[in-house]
Amino acid sequence: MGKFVLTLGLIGLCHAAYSATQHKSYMRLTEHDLDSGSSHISSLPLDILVQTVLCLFLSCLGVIQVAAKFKPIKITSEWENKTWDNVANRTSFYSFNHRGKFLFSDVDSENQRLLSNYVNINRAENISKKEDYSSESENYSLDEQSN
Amino acid sequence: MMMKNDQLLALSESAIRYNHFLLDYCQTSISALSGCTAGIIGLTGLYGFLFYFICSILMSFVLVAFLGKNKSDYFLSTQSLFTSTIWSGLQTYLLFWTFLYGMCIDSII
Repeated sequence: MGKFVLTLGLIGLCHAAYSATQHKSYMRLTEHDLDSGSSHISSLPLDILVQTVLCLFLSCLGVIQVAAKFKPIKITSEWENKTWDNVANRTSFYSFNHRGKFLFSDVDSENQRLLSNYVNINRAENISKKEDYSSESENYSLDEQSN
Repeated sequence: MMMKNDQLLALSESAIRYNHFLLDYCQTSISALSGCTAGIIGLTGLYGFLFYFICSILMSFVLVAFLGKNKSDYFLSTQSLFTSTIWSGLQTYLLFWTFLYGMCIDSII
């Protein structure tokens, strides 16, 4: 919105300048220029005057809307939305080699995996051992049932 | 840090600096634009300087209206909005005023 108003004002100012130049050269050609030297405000037509002042006002509004993005000066307003972790953050003092590596890493799951592997191996061994027993015991049970 | 109504008020220096920079930016742009306008209209002599002061004060009023109620969040005093940059913009104004006057009114074309 601000950029649009600013562009409109600047284009209007350029057009007004061009119109003023045209008017002046026309006045000079028709030799009306000689009597206007006495007054402080030159004899521009009213529409060019109005357009110039209006475009100045428009571009003022545009500049203020585009540029005037002020910061609040109170330090508390700057820190209002920040946590202490953000404010006291010092990147130079980061330490990555601490106990958190072991507390929050996948060491537990790693241990779990190793443990389960161990259990599986043992279970497999047990099963293979059991199979020997079970064949015997099956026979035994079958014998029992037959009895 | 400054005392105000018996309580400490902590101010961010960088924010104050930045606000003043933005104010200066606005003032410079507006003095350039009003210089262009004065040149196009063809003001001469004291009327030109009068036009500059009117434009500058008008711009400050527009800025105050733009900031609205919470202008104390951005500036310590309202007076500084009006007076802090009024003389530094005058040179820019003179430059554009004479340039545009020479281009539009005094041209040989």
